[in-house]
Amino acid sequence: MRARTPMRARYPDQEDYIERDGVRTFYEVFGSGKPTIVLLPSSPIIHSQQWKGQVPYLARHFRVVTFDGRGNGRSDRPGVSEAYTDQEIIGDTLQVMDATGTERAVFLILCHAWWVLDLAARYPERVLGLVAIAPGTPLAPIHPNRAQYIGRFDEPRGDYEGWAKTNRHYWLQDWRGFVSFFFDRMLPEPHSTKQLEDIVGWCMETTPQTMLLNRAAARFPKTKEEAEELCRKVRCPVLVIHGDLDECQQPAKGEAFAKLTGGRLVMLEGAGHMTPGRDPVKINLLTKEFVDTLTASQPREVRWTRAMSRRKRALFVSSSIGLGHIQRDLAIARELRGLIPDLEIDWWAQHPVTEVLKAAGERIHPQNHLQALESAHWEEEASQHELHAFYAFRRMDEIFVANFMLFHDITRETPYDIWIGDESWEVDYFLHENPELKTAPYVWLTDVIGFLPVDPDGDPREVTLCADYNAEKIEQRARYPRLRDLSLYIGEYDELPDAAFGPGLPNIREWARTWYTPVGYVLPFDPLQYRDQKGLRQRLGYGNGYPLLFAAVGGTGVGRPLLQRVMDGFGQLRETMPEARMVMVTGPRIEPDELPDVAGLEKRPYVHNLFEHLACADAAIVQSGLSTTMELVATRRPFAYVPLRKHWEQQHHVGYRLRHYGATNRLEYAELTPPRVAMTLQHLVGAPVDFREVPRDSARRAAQQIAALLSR
Amino acid sequence: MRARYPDQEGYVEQHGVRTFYEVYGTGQPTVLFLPAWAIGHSRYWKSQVPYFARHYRVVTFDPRGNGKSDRPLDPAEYADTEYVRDALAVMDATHTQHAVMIGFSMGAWLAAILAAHHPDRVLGVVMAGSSSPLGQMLPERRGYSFDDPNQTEEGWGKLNRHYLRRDYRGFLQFFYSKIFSEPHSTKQIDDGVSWGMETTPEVLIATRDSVDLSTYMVKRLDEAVALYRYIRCPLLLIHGDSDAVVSHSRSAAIAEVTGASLVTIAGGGHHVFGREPVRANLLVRDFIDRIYGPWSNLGRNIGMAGM
Repeated sequence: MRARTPMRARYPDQEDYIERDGVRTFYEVFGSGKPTIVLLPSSPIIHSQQWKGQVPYLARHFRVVTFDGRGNGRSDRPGVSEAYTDQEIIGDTLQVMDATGTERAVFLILCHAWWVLDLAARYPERVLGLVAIAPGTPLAPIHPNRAQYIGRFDEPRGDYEGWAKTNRHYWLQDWRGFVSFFFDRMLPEPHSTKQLEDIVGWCMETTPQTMLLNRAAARFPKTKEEAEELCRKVRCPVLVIHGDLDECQQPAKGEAFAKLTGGRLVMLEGAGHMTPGRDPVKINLLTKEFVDTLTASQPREVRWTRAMSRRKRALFVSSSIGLGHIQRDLAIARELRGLIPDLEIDWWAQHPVTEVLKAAGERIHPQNHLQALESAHWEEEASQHELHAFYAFRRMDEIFVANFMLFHDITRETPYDIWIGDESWEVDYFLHENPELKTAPYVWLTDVIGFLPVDPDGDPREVTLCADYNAEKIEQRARYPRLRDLSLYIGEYDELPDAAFGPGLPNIREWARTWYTPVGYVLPFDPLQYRDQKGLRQRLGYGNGYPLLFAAVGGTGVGRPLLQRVMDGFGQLRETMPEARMVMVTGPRIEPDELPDVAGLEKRPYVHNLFEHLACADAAIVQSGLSTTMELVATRRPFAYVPLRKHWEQQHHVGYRLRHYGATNRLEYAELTPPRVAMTLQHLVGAPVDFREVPRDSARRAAQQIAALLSR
Repeated sequence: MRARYPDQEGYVEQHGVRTFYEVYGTGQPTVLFLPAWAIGHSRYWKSQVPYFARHYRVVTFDPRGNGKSDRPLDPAEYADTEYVRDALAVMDATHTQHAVMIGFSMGAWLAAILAAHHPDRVLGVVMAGSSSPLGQMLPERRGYSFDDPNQTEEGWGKLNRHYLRRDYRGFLQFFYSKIFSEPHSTKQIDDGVSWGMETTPEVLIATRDSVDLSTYMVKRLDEAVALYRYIRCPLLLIHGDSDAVVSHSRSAAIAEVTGASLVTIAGGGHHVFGREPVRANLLVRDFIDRIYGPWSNLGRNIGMAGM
């Protein structure tokens, strides 16, 4: 896979360099709260991105300063060993603090605790508190896994199997091989592929030569006695967090560190060395709790309503960025209000979905806007017609943590009667990872179950990763079967892929029979009201007597190239069908002005209640987003659909479902030449349809299931 | 049966008036639960003692006029300043250098005096349903006399020396139904009435007749404001927005002059510690841990320093 820089969940408010003796160190500052937290790098092997799961959350509560340690990231890579001594890093830290006007701070450090230990002992006035994660100091012996190899680090060997890779010659020969092995061992938790990939990427931004210079630099404390003495000098409050499976720093080091500094030790069981990345929610909450105790801050809560005085409230998390899901969510909400009349609903959603909610007069949660924007991420991910949905989803890890932390904060502030999540991936994932954070009945809704690879022959890694993601979800569900109070599938079992979750994993349709309640496909309207095409065209101002065509690509900006091809095809169609007119819905993220003008073609950025207009179409050609295609099925209009090439849901799930309903005009993007577009449209106009009827009571079925959790 | 019995109990005596105290647990810091009006006694805190004794050290005492404390009939013995002296005497007797003070109603006023006048003895203060010279009297309480017969003996007309003498139980029933105005509070009201029956109308009348700091400050609001502003320790205010005895506006006014945070209990009445014990306990636990964290002797100093 080509490396790319994904969108960050939070960007710095300030960034700059400090310079000491000609060496530049890059730093970033986020937020403006109190106190300041300095997230120290574990450099030079990795850089400040190691804290990506922490920064957005901590910056919402405190002020956060990060920097890249010399030797990696955007900082310089000096070519002499003396530039990497502990004293240089401490000097950089203090100068970054000075440059950012940080008199004192709470420090977070992973592994390289010796820096902060020395700093805290010598500059107590700069250190408010210290969170030492997996602190490495000579307080306990080196882990036996590699003790024998460290003494012979410089000796060439015949083989470099396992921990023998801890060797100068192997580093120089296969740096990627070393860091891949090493960090794989640092992440003993199953399903850590993304974390490992991230870390190896950061390691590859430095070189083994730099690491060797760093290795040769002077270290303090070097002995157990020196470390003990330093620990005893620490006067600030200390929190030690250590994974009991840590193969880098033995847990005994953390225990000794806590004991000697008078700190509190939190042992994370089943966890390895890289806990900020692998258990970000727990690390964030422990850090927040620690900092709060240091600062006598105001209590979070200023109003608490007696349980029996509370209004009945639901939080509806509508996660999709396409505009289809929100219509079904609104339909379910309408039915739910019919069943529970005094229910108030707060919506938690992303732009542009929020626009639909505002137009519908719905109440959007006041902190909704603090979410990291997913649609910006998707647009950034899209290139040509090749949004690789699974990889893009996978690269949302940072956004997911940030948004889950926000969800956690708002659900602590407001005790909702129920959380309803329509494909609220981050909520579902992190609740299973932190089940003790569930404090309300929780309903999960989805129309898609299982990641399926889009390029199984060309990309074996995708096959492995999809299977791994599916396996993790299957294990999460099995381990915490009551975490979701309801799992609703938007459809019937037969609409699901008849395919395995992956090699050795269950069949999706069969697994769903155990783990999901089907409610039928949810339409946001009654299709029987939209069968009079002529009358409808009259009412919507289209008139009759000419072929009316539609093209639509959904709510993201990724459909632009498709629209261009359809435009060209429509131009050709007009040569044989000159009276044809086309309405092209560009979506809110593509400006119609950016597309050329074509005779007979009207471009519109957004059409309210698009399904009414689709119901007027003599033919349509659409990207195979689920909502649009199913609206065409329900209104029984002839259409062809074009799946995004690397969109697993459009490639697999939508296809299975449309086949179930008898809609089979699928066009591959690669074959979608203008003549093909023209030919397809010509063929579709007037063609008979024989689709299966879409159920009309699905929203009610879903609402009845949900209502049963709210009343008896 | 009590959920937790004291580890130590005793009396302090001042000018011949004995005050009964109890000590529970051995943790740190000490949490001193102050008495409210003598219409009740230290059992007001029955939902707090077992929980806080598990985490900290708890000291309670009965107010002069109720419980196991003496019941003098001289109004001067019931001045707020006398109760403050009792609190300090109990602290001395129990070797309590300093404590977190928790008070509700009149006890919140005692806590304010303690924090303002004896800052070295007070780590932090929680005031719930604060009686205070600041803020407003509830509209429905206005226009009634304590001394002269009222036109009606309905509602707050019952808070009257003549009515107290004639129908003491009726008065207690009324007053406790105002303290616990939340629906389904029968047990709390029954408890309260039984505590009230442990003393006499003459004692309660004597407490009303005392002339003290609060009597003075009602007329000198500027001095009341100054007193609250003397408070240097962390302060948490809690008040039910449906408090039917002391107006929520009193805590709002204290919050305004002190900048302290006020937690409003929506739907809550006068004694949230009695009626919403779980939430109140957790709020106070959170408050104490913030000012006196797991880093004990360090937490406080660092927390308060120039952040």
